[in-house]
Amino acid sequence: MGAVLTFPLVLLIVTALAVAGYILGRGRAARIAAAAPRTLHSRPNQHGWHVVFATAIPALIFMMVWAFGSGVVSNIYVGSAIPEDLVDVQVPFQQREGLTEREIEIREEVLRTQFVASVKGLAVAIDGYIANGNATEADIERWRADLAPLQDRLRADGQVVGASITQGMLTVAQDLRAFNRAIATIGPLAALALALIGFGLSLRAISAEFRARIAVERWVLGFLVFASTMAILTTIAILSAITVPSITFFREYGLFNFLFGMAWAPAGDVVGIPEGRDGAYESVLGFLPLIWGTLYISLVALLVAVPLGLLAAVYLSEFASKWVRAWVKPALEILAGVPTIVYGIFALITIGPFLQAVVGATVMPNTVSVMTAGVVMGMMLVPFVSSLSDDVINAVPQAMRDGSLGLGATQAETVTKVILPAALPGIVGAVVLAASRAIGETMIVVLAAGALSNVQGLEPNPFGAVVTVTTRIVAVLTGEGSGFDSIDVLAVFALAFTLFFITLGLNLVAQRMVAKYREQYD
Amino acid sequence: MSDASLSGAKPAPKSSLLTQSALVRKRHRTGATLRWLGLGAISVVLFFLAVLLWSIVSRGVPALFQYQAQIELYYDPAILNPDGGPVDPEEIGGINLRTGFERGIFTNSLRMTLENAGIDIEGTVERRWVVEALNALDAVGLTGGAEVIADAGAPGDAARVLGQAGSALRAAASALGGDDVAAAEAARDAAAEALGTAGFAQAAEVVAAIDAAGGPDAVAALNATGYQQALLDAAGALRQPADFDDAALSALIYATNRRDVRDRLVENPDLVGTTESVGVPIDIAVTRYLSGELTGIGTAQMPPGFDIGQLALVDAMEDAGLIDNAFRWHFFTNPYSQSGEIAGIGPALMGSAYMMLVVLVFSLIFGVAASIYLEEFAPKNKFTDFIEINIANLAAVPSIVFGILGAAILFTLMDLGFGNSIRGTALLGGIVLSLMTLPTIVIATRAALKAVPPSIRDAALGVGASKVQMVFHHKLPLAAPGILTGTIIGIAQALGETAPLLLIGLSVSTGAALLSSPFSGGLLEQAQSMPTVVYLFAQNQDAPVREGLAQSAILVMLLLLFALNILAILLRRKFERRW
Repeated sequence: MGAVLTFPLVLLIVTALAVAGYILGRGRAARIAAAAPRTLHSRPNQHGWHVVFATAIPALIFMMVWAFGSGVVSNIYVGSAIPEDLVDVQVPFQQREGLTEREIEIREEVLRTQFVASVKGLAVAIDGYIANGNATEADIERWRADLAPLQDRLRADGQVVGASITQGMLTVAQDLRAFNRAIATIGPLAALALALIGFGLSLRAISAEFRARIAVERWVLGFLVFASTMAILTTIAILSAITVPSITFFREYGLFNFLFGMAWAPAGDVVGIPEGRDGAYESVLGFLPLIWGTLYISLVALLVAVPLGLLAAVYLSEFASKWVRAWVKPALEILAGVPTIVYGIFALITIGPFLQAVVGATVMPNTVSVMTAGVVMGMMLVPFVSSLSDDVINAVPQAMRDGSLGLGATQAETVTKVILPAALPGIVGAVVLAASRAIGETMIVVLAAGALSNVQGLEPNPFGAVVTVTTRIVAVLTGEGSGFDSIDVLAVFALAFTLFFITLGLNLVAQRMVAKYREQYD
Repeated sequence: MSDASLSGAKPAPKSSLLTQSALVRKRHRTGATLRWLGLGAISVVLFFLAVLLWSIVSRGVPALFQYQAQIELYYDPAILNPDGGPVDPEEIGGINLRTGFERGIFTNSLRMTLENAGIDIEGTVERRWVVEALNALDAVGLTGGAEVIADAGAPGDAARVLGQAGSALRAAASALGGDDVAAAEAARDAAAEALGTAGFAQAAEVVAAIDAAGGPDAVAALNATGYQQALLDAAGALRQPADFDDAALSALIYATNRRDVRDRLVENPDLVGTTESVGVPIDIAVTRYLSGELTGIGTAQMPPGFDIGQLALVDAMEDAGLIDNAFRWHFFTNPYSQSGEIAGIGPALMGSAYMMLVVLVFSLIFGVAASIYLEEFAPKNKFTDFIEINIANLAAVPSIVFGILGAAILFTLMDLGFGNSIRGTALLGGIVLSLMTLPTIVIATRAALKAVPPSIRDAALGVGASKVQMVFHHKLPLAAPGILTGTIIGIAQALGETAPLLLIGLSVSTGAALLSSPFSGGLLEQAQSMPTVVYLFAQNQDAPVREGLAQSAILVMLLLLFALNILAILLRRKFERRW
């Protein structure tokens, strides 16, 4: 858009420079080496690599930062470019009647947000209009909102124009376009300059004494450190992704109302504008029915998974013949590798109708229920529990087994009276980990637990449908949910917030337990 | 002997080592119980696995085949070129697909094909409904219905006769319930007479014998015969054949290829007036009747939207060999659609492949780099511990939380002006999956690096290699097979992940077409993935799609997963080194 030099083009130039740099740098170092053998500190190709890194990496980093930063900056710019007294962002005088200062403030905030969105849309539309060759910059300069049917013109060209265009909108859009143009011109130029500087400096640095290898290794090590902070960055990203909207939500809706609410009935309110009576939101967003459903299903799942998984692990590690182990272990691994959506569909079309046929339609009105999801989730967790318990049981020192058998205990007595008590902390750790997985499990409950959007109270019937935390998250965010402006969307982030901390807590407890247990026998 | 006397204790009860005491037997029984319990648990799990796999294969494999009718498609000039003269391709292109092609060309051709095969369409439908009417009459002992219907001539006339008798009976029933005995008697006699006129002499006698003064008892007696309902049902059935029209005929097939046919005709106008043999899918609801899943007897066993007359036609077509069951090749190339006849997983396969590509590049590079740092360079300090704790926890974070992260990234990018176009792209999906896979790969890579013996490291350092050289020239190549295996297993996990992808909008892109090459922006187009398309299939409104095609898609996904895992096992076998 206007700028001749764009980022893809610069990327191409930088790549070419890097390749050229490798060849030039290597050649130069090789010539020095040929002239004065054995004086060169580093090998020629290390000199080559040094030029490549010095040319490409600063430019690439700059481009990435610029690409994301420019979006942020232009966002801030739009905000500051809106005149305070613009009528578009004022609540009309007639509507101010009966509103408090705060309500007016919130409404103006919403107007501003909408205005910013319209301005951005309009800027994109005008850019497209010019790109299609319908007008020049000079033509656009002369545009006035009231002069020509701008909307119709832009729409006729296939551009998306939302609200009706006002003069204020047009002016700000023009400012924004000029600003964006400047950014789009400066960025690539600066990146290219950086690459050229790196290229020149690193080529000039080549000499017999220059320690290219150490410089190259520093670049490599830098990348390794950066890569290893990915885990931290991801954690930080997750935390900020769930915390910031959650805090907004708690402040708007009330932490107490959320945590101890007995009903979940979203109504699509806009954040900041409570529409119900008494200045409350019409959305009712109570956490209890959802966590009830989650825990109920997890309990059923654990009741299935723990006995089966534990017995299977004991049998496999203490009683089974080699042949049985060779066949059963891969089968368990298959079970562990099946994606959860497959279990969900199996629960929905096979287990649900089966259970309904067994207990009757009066007890179980739908094929989706706590039991449907719980039983299948339990089966999914069996390999998880059994492989973890298997590890734990195998870690019990052989001397304890031998001692028990040597005293005349039967093998079963050795298992129940020596090995299992010794392995107990580890097994409890495994069960806690399984619980954490059950609570965070999504696709099985989405398909097989129920999909009510309004829940009142706690469902006691194990054959009744419930709604879980994860089901609600998927239901709200799968649709056309588009941004942080709805209280219901914010509530979902609060759900994720609680889910994250519950599972994190369980995981930490389990890890601590397993570690303690390991220490005991190491 | 001497022991006992020395200690003064009671002599031990006499027992032999060869016979077990009650206590020992009991102890062994407990042991056997534990063993049987373990075996039972394993059997339960294996049985569950078998049922799971069976339910997928037994539904998924048949759904990969599609019943289709072999139709002689006649490109009728009367429709394609109504004004005569030379054929105009543009005019053909302008003909409505639904009225012109589906209802016109396809339905007419179906009718023609059936007639050429010797099937009397209207006759078949009529005969089936007559049978239905006779069944209703026979069930209550109204014998002689066949003659009644034959005497009446057309089924419509028979319906009128039976309907009149039925109405007379209804009037009689309400009169019998009233207080006026004379009126009741008259109505009863009228009903008996109507039955007699229709030809049911025996039934007429039964009705005439009912006591007109019986009040409620008489009504009960009349209702107990069931004549009224049977007559009205039979009349209803006999009225059906008249309703059979082209729409009912064309409902049997799904003219999926009508657009292809039109395009072909636009390209080759010479085809107008000729005939081609084409396979056209049978409606997906009817396929359940053909496969024997629905019997067609009773409302619950009827394909929704169809009646027995149409099913009789289907039977006739099957007997005439016009229906075959062909492999659904297009399932692997078509995009998802609400209509099961044309739905496919093409874009989903591509989208998943692209995401796996992103995961491979991103998580392999970052995962290996992070592991190398942690394993070889990191100093033992708080920061390193913090990284380790983070990795361990990320491995256990529920996948939906990564989806929330993806959604937050998406909303933020949208706020930053990237617009809605970023929603549901393969790149975004790939990045979210990569972040999820990263811990798995780090754990596998570190294990592989650990397995390389320290002598390699010492030797390399000893001959003067720098630490970086030692790692990249010696340790990494030796650890590569282990890293590769871990990566493949991580990717297999990512392939089946559904929830995070749902949250970044992959499910709403139902209209996603095949993607362009990753080098020309394919990564930034609206994508689907295998697990999300399975989810879409599972949410479809048609039961055959939910239960059949969803399983086919699962089958394909599981086969891919197995292939990846087997690849990992083979690589491990081939390159594994024991030191």
